[in-house]
Amino acid sequence: MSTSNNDRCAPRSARLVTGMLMLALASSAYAQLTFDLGKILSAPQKIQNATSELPQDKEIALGRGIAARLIGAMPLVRDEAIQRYVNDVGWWLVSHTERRGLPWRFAVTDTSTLGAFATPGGHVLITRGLLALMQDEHQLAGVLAHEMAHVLRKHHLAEIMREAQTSLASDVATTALSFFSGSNSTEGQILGAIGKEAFGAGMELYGTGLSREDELDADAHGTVIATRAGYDPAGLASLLFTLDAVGPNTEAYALMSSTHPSARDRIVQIEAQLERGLERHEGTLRDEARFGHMQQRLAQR
Amino acid sequence: MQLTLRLPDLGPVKLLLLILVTVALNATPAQAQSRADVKAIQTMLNQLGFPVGRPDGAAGRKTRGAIRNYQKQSGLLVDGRASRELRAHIQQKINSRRVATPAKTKTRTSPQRNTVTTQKATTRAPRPSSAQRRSKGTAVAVRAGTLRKLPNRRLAGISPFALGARFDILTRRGLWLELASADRRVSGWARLGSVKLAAPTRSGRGASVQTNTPANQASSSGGGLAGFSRALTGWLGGSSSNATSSTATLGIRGLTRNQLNANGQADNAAMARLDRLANPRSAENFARVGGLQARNVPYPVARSAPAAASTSQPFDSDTDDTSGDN
Repeated sequence: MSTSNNDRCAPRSARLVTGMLMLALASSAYAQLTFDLGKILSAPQKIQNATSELPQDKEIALGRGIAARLIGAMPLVRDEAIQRYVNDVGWWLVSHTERRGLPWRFAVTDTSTLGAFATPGGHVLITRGLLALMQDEHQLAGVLAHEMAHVLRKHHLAEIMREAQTSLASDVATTALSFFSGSNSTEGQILGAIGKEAFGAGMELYGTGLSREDELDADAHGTVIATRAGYDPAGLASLLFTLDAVGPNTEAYALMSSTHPSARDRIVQIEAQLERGLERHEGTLRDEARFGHMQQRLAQR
Repeated sequence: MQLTLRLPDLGPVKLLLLILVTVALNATPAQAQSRADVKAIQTMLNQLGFPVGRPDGAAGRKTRGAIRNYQKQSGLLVDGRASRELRAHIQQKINSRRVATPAKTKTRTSPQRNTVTTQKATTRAPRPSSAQRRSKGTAVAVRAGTLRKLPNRRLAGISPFALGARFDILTRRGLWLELASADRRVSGWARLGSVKLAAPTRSGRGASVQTNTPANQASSSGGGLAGFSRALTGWLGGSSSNATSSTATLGIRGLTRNQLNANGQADNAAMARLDRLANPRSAENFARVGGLQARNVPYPVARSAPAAASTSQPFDSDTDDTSGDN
C-alpha cells in the first residue's frame, strides 16, 4: 500500500517506530500496549472508536460519495416523472422507518442490468432493467424497502469499516508517524484518512456484495417496512420468484446476487416470516394504473 | 457529466397532467358504486355466506356490515364500502371457488355424474370459467405439495402434486399462485415457494399433470434466453413489453471495481438533481391517492437473520430437492 511511500520520505527513527507499530498491530490489534509510545498508540485507539461508531454526518458523507461514483458509472434515467414516482414510493416507506431524519435519496439508473443498491446514509439506486421487470408497485416497494433495510441496519457501513480496518495498518502507521514527527494530527484528519480507506473498501463492496446473513436480514426487515406502508408483504418475494427464473448464471443477475443467498432460499424465508403474522395482509389489492403508466414511460424511452 | 433534464420546459406541465390523470384514475374505482355494482356485490356476498338479504342495489347497513365481515376475513382494509375494487376481489374469490370445487359437489350438478366414482375432483371436467382463463406462465413444482381450494394454507389440500409437476399460472395473490393443468382438469392454489417459473409447454399438449423430474425441468429451463424471455413475457403479462428488451441484454456485465474506477467519476450534478427530487410531503399525498393504509407491524425479533434462518429449517428439509434442481 502506501508504506513504501512513507519509507521514502520518513526520517530513520520514525521508520523504526512504524515497524514496531505494524508489528504490534499485526500480533494483537486489540491488546493493551504499554510501552513508552503511549502518546502515539492513542491514535489507533481513537481510530478503533471512530470506526465502530461513525457519526451520522460522516456516514452520510461517505455514502453520498459512493453514490455519486456509482451514478457516475450508471447515469440516471432522464425522466423526471419516473424518478419522482420512485421517490414517492421511497419516501412513503421512509415514514415507516426509525431513521426518518436521514437525507434519503432515491434514483433510477439508466442501465438494463438487474440490480438495486444502497449506500450508507440513505442513498438507494435501482436499475431501469429491474424496474421494467416488475409487475406492480408492491414489488417496487419490496425492493426499495430491502435496500433501505441495509441502510437502517448499517450493513454496508459495518462491512466498509471492517474492510477499512484491515487495510488500516499502513494508514495507522502514517498517522502515528505524523504524531511522532510533531505535526498536529487532529481527529478530523484521522477520520479523513479512514474515509479514504473506507471509500476504497466501499467501492469494492459494490462489486462483491454483502454477506448472506445481511441479505436475509434485509429481506426480513424490508418486508416489514413495506407491510407497514400498506403494501403487500409478498412484493419482494414475488419479484424474487421472477428473478429466480432469470437464473443465477446470467451476469446481470449476478450483479444483484454475487453473494446473495439463492432467490429460492429467500422466498422460503419470507414465506416462513409471513406465516408468523403477516399472512393476513397478503394479496393487498390496489389500483395499479400509476405503476403501469410509469412502466410505459420507461418502455417508450 | 451533463445530466440536464430532457423535458425542461414541459416538465412541470407534464407532471401536473400526470398527477391529475393519476388522481382521476384512482378516484374512479373507489367512488363508482353504481347500483349494478352494489347488486352484484350483494349477490356474491350471499353466495359466499355473508348474508345481506335480497340484493337491491342499495348499500345499506346490512350490506355494509357483510362487506366489513368479508373484508375482515379476507385480510382487506375494513371500510365497509361497496367499491368496484371490492367487487373484483369477491368475483375472483368466487371464480377460484368454482375452479377448485371438489368432485362431490360437482357431481350433483353434473349431467354425467354416473361416470364419476371414486376419482378425485381433479379428474372432473372443469367449468367454463376456469377453462377460458389464459395462462400467465408455466410453473414447475420444485417440491411435492398439494393444491388448495382457496389461497389459505389452513384448508386441506384437494390435489397432491409431485416434484416436477407442470402447471399454467392463472393468477397470483400475495405469495399464492392459482395453478391449473394445461387442460384445466386440475386446478387450485399453491405457495409461490413450491414452484418455479419455467418456459411454457406447447399449448394443446393435452397432458395433465406430469410427474417427471429434473430431466424434464432441465429441458424446460434450458431453452436459453429465448425460452426464458418467452416464459417471462407470459408471466409478466402484456403491459411489460420492455421486459423482453431487458432480458435480451442480460449478457451485460455488472458493475465491477475496474469499471467503477474507469468510468466512475463522481457525478455531482446528478446528485444535485436527486436532492431536488427528495420530497417527503409529496409522498404523503401519493400514498393517499394510492389508497395505501399504514399498518402497525413490529420488526422481527432481535438477531432476526439467524433466527429466521433457523426457524425455516423445517422448510429446508422439505425442499432438499430445490438445491439439486439449480
